[in-house]
This record gives sequence, structure tokens and C-alpha cells, in this order.
Amino acid sequence: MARKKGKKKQQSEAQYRFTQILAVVMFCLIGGYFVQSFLTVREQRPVMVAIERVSAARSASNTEPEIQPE
Amino acid sequence: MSPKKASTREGQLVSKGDKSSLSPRERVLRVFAYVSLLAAFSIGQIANKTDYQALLQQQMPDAVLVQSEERSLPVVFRTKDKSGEISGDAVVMADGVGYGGPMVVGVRARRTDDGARISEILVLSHKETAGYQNRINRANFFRQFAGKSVTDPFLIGEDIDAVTGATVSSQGYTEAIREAVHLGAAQHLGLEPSWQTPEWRLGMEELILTALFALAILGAYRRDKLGKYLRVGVMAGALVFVGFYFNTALSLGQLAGIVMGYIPHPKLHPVWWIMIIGALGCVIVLGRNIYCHQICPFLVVQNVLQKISGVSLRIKPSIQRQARKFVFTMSWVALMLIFLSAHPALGSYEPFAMIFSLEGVGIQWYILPASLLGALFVPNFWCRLFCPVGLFLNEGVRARRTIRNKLVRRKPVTETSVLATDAMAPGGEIDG
Repeated sequence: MARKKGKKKQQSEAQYRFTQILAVVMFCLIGGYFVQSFLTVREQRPVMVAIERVSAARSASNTEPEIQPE
Repeated sequence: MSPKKASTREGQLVSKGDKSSLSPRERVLRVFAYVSLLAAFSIGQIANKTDYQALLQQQMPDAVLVQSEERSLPVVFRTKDKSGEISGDAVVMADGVGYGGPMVVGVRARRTDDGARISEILVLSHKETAGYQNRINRANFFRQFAGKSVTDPFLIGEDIDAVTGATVSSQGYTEAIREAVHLGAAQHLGLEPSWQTPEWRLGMEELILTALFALAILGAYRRDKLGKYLRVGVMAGALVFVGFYFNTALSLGQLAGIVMGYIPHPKLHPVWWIMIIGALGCVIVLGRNIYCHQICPFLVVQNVLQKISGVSLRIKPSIQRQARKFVFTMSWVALMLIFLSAHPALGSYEPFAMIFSLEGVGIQWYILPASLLGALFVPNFWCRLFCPVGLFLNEGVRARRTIRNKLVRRKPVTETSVLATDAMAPGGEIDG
């Protein structure tokens, strides 16, 4: 059975503005949460640590003695 | 039901699931998003690889650590005393998966005549939220391991008591300790495995959750009064059980955790498995987002608030049209944070954990009241504009439709055809 769709009630500009403000406030709060998390991640320095580990692994494999042919 | 007119503005999808309608700029942005996520994932995996010695040294700064039998598991460290002699104590490294991700503990054990006994448990690293870890610490959970023999079963409900309100964390730690200690007893001490192994525990919780999914699927396909009562009943059950009792609402962190391999053993956390299989299974097998329409407890909270207020305002159309892009962007930022830190909780901005278990950190405590306030005035306020789980599941439904249509060589998916099939299907997509 198809749903009856009545004519939507007209919404005033003030009401649109109110919902817009709600949405913007939420976006700002979520942005704030991301900033909070970013500061935590920055302390871990994952990019620098990853680069150091990859470099260390490469230099470790480079310094392994080569097998000398008999 | 008259179909919506397809939007033709540049940069927006003309029809659902029709990727060829993306503008060049959108395509470039998508490629950049996927490549950057892959890069963040790789960096996170390399940077967060467990360095047992470094972790242990932080807890025992004055000790000189020597790793014994480098190539065998579990990893065992011994300490040297001042004279350079290796002591009788050993620290066995134990890995497990808790509520928030992987955890590493050090089990300090001392040799005895009959094998070895545990003297101390050192928590070396974890991804649990602060609330759950605090409960574990306040209950002195690890004290019950001290003095136990390495051949004890270490099973929750047998010789170990879980912490109320931190059951999954308790199980994760116990499983880690059990596996490491038993493996160490067999490998390093040569003891015969005489201990109990965990068994399947399928009880009322698992039955209730399975029944909720089954009834939700039935309710999604029935258009009569019974279907309506089923849907209402399932939603009420979801609020009580999925929300407050199990606190197992899906989050972006959980979904990202699957990609990172943070998957608990089904014997130890069957509820998690039922949730994931139920939600993803409905998307893949049925092509319907049953979770968002009936199982999500936060949806029910929003519906209840709407009924209380009786006010139903709309979002400005210009914002509503961009909603999907907003959620994509927020999800991308969240996933970047999760992958770089290998810590699911750092990117999970959803308010579910706060409302159902009162666990939250910092600004999260402001996101919850704001989302509830929004839900009072705007129907499905969170779902429409912010929910990453809904986006992920809806994109899964879209992808399934596209693949299916290509396989059966139907006409291309258009706005009209999608809405026509969705008109009678409450388990379809939530429009952004």
C-alpha cells in the first residue's frame, strides 16, 4: 500500500535558521573532537616512527654479510 | 509515490550508485581519499608494531632485560641482576584483543618445583577506553592472577572473575594471559597440556540478539499490521538490549578495527560476531540496511525524543543536499586518525558509548547533548547529517546494487528505479 504523502507544511526562515545552527554547532563539536584526537595522535609521531623503523630495517638488511661464493 | 527529480548540479551524484556521473574533481578527491587512507593504514601498522622490549623496559626501567629463545613463542624476557647472573624470574609477553583493540600484558612468573607460578601482571599497552580500564584497575582485576600456577585454566567464570561493566576487557586480558602462560608452560617448561580450554558459551544474550535480527528481517518484508508491530517491537528490544544491556551499537571504530585485524575470538565474544554478521550480512545478502532502520539503538532514542517533542523541523535543502559529502569528509578524517594511531577510539565520534555506558572523553560529552537536542527538533538528526556507520552500510547497499545490476545486465540504476523498489521496502537506504 503506497504511503499517502500530504503537502509538507511550510517552514519559516527562522525555523530553517534554527536547524542550521544546530547542524553547525554539531559540526563544530565534531571538529573539536577531531582536533582533540589529532593532538593525541601527534604525540605518538606515527609518521616519524614509521620512517625510523623502515630506515632501521633497511640498514639492518644492508649490513648483513653477503654469502661468499666458495 | 512520485520519484524525486535527479539533481544535475555539478559535483553531485545524478543517480544513486552511478559512479560515471561524478565530476573529474570528485573522482580526483575520491582517489586521493582512498590513497591517503591506504598510506595512513600502512604508516599506522609500521609505527604501532609491538616492541615488547621497549614496552617492558618502560615498566621496569632499572632492569636489564634479556630475551630468551628468540625464535620461539611466546616471547619471554629474563632479567639480569647486578652481578650479571640471569634471575629465575621470567616475563612472558601476552597479546590479546579487548573492547577497543589489541592489548599487551607481561606475565611475571617464577619457577617452582611443580612448574611455575605467576607473581605479577604488568599491563604494557592497551586500546581500552579510559572508563573500562579504570574499572579494571579499581577492581584490582589482576590481583587474582598472583600466586596461580601456570597450569591453571584461567577461564572467566571458572577461576577468574570478570569486572562488572568491563566484561569484554576482562575477557581480553584473561585470554591473553591464558594463551601465553599455557604456551610458555608447554614450550619452555615442557609441561603436558592438562588444562581446560575455553568452550562455546551461547546463552540468552546471543539468542536475544539473533532473534532481534531475525524479527527485523521479517518486519522489513511485511507491509501489514504484523510487520508494523514487529518493527516497533524490534526497535524497543534493540534499545533495551543492543543499547543499554549489551552496549554493542556499531561504530566506525569497530568497523575500522576489523580492517586492522582487531577481531575477538568468536568463543569469547559471540555477541560481537552476531552484530557484525547480522548488519553486514543483511547488506551483502539482502541488499538492505536493516541495522540502521531497526537495530540501531540510537535511532530509537531519536524517535522517542521526536515523539516527546512533537516538533518535526526540516534541515535547509542546501545543507541536506550536501549531507552525504559532509559525512564522507568526517568519516575520512576519523579513519585517518584511527589508522595512523591504530586506536579505534580516537576516531569514533559517535555519541553511542556515552549514552549507553556513560563512557566518554573530553569534548565527546558535548556531542551527546547536542545530538539529543537536534533529535528533539529534527527527525533522525544524527542519521541524516553525521552518522558514519549509516554511510558505510548505505554505500554497501549501493555497491551491491551496482554489482548485481552489472552481473544480471539490467538497465543502469537510475533515481527512479531505485526509489520505485525502495518505496515499499522499509529496510532500504536512508536518504541523506
